[in-house]
Amino acid sequence: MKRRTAQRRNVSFLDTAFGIVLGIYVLFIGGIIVANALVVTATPAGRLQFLESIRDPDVLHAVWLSIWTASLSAVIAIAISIPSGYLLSTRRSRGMHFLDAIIDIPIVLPPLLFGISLLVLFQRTFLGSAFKAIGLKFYHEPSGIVLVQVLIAAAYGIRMLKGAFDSLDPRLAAVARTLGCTRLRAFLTVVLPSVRNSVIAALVMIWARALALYGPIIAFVGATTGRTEVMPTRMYLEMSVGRLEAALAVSLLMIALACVVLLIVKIVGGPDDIEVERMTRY
Amino acid sequence: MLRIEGLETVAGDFRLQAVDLAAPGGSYGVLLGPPGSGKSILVETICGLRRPTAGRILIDDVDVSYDDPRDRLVGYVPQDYVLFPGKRVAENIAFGLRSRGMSRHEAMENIKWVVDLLHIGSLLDRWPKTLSGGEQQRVALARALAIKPRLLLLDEPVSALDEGLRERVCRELRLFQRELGITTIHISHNIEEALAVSDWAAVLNKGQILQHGPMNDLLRHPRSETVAHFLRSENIFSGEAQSASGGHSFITFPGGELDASCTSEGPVKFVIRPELIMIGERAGQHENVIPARLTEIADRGAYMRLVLEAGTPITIFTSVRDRSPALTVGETYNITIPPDSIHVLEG
Repeated sequence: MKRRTAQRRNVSFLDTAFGIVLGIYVLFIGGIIVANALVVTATPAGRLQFLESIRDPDVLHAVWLSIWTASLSAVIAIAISIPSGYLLSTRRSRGMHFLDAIIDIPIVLPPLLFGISLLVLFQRTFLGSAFKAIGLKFYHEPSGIVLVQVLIAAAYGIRMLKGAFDSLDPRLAAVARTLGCTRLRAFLTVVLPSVRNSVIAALVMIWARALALYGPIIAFVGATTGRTEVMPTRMYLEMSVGRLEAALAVSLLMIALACVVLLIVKIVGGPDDIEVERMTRY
Repeated sequence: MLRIEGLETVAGDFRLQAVDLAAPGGSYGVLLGPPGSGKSILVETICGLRRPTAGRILIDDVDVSYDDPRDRLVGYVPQDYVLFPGKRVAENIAFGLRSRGMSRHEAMENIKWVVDLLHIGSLLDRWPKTLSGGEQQRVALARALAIKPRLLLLDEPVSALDEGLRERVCRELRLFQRELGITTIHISHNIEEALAVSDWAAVLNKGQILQHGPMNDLLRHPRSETVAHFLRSENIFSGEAQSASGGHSFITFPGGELDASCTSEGPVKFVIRPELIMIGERAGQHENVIPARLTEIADRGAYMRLVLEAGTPITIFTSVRDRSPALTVGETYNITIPPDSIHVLEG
């Protein structure tokens, strides 16, 4: 009883206020999931459409295509984000400010417009034919989905990791070099492990961003069923023909998939040992 | 042994200018200077983290001016210690050895001596974030010493510690340095630290070494007004000197006429260390006795700081024990200034 009173006393007015803000937000997100589930499961027709959807080979193809393209894009995008974020964080010059501004374009540009712009780049310049000449085809190909996802999601990764590198002490690498490291080894053994949690967080965000894209994919790659149709595209197409339950069924699949992946990342990433030790001490 | 000859480094708008410095082998030197004077830039240049634009750096008579930092074998303890946050204490200490190709087991064996020396065996499994300032300082020192450096550079090694801990840690640093016989340069802006540990000290200001020598010499015989100001010589006066016989001069200043053990002539600037001025008239050879009105008494714990007005304010540090008879603000007292305590500044 005494313990419960003490715990109650520890909750300050600020905690309560912040808790209310968080609660309202979570209520909306949770509400979306519950509403989706209710619409799909409330009626026999909805349930039937849901079962049909998850058994449909085209939907299953879209699920698999979404998973592998988003995963491959996340790996490529994080490989771009780490060195780019580090460079933008550690080198300060007018040129870097310019590059920094360019990075934000995929973030500020409406995604559909980004896809159209990419299409223009590949169709109206030598780039498309140059890639074709070396055997790389993006237009109407799953590889095009990866290209779109990488170009957009990497911008978020770079922005996030630049912030992480900004918060690091620049002398970490310097000290490592005095102890016998090359610049590369100092980066790999000291700098990168110091932003491990941010890299995992960026990876999750990049993956989620890549998974959710559909506007630029439709514009650049199209939405050929059984070939370039990803889950969000399928959802959009189902909605456009008035099959709400089918669209929501795909949406529930996406939510389930996202939950599984986030859980795996959490388990693989492990608890933050440093934080655990710090919290236990104080 | 470290020798720096005509070293110049550019860092943004800042420039180290023609720095000459010599640290005898096994000595403990303190590089003093106000914030922004270029102390850290000089140390980073010695480490190899900055490229000099001119001059030479010789460690044990080998020119390392343009060598990569990893080839210099210089132990560097930066300000705030900069421990690697993603590595436990043991990994931090063994990092240098691992970088030089030692296996994990071998490196752990080879850090035992430094762990024992600094008494940090109980910290080995801890994360840096969980250490206190003093513990972090020991770990950073162990990490720098583990590679058995030829030169040890400590950038403000005690500035992050509590006031009470600083003196003890400085004494310990000096003991470890003596035990290992390693040439050490300690950066500081604190005169007490320099007095406590140094064999020699150098004062750096605006990228230039202004004076270099034993700390006591710097305190008693500052070469310039800037050095005197930095070393808290509160009594800096302007006067007119007239050379007399027997290696003496008479200096006229707003407080009167002083007999000084020097041979200066014409307009001069001179300093008198506050601790060398005595309150009250003393018998003996001290001839400079001037009356002054006491305007301020401040108890500084170990000593009393008195300010007296004698045409110009004169500061005196006196021991609490010597404060007899009881002093009263507003009263006039005779103060005695020994001729050999008057130091005329150059230029």
